Amino acid sequence: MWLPILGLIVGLILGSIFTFQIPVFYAKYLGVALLAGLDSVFGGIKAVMDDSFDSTILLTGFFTNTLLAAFLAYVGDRLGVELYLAAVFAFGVRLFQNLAGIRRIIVLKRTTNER
Amino acid sequence: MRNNKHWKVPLTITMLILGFFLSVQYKVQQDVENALAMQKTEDLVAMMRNLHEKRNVLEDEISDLLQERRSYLDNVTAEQALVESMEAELKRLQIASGSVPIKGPGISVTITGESHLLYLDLVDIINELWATGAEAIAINDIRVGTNTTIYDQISRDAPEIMVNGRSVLYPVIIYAIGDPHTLEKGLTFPGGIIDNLNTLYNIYPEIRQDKEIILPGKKKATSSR
Repeated sequence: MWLPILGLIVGLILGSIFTFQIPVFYAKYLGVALLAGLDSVFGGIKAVMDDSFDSTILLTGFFTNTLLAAFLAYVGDRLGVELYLAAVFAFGVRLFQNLAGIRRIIVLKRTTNER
Repeated sequence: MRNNKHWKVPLTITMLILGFFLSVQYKVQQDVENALAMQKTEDLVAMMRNLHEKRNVLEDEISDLLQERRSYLDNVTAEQALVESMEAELKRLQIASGSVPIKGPGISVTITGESHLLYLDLVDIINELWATGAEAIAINDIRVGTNTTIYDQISRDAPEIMVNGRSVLYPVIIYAIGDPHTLEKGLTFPGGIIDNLNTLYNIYPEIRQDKEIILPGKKKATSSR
């Protein structure tokens, strides 16, 4: 339970310690990729909670979604289409669905336990 | 339902990567927001006004400092002028008191041994030379200064003239540095001191103008040509 949170904290600390800087030009693509990553992680948490977790699905989903989101945003900029909006919309909707799913599972567990 | 037990490690890995890029992106985004182009117009205007005021203050400071510098420079030049005039005064006084050697144009007055020269005549000649603008005077090799004594002394057979306690040997040569023409005129004008000596005491001093006379300190006076 605490190991993934520890991983998140270590990642945050590493990122702030490293003077690794992304050029401002690529910041937008990294943002879209991060949104996809967030979606994948919350999807993973939800899967853990309803016992449908598959590590292959999580890892492939995480990497392909982030890379694809960034790549599509980049291609969209090259073509003059604001394609990153599609990524924001798609992953944003899925993020909220995942969060709603997590909430639902917690609430259901609570109510079943109380009974 | 597969791999149900092994959810921790993959989730930790993804969380780690996510966290890393989250903080990286956070830093980048902060930089973007701090960039001037992303600032609000009001903030930029206020910033510009601030910098403008600061610049005005600094410009005032520059002009103040320049003025200060100018006043200091003025002081320095005034002090330099003072120092120069003091040095000129010092040099003049040193020459008059005979403490330093001096070299320059002047005249020499030679009085030979057959004349009956009194110390008063010597004093008169020297005073006349001072009066006509002599800068420095020496009798033979004795520099005449502010406290030079000239007096008569009766020795074995003839009266001797003593200058600073030393007897003056004939021929007595008086060296004077100054404008040679003026000095000579001062001595030889009709009714002047040379005229008096000629007519009253039969003393005939020989006056010679020299382009360069050297009077070294208190020691020796020589004429060089």
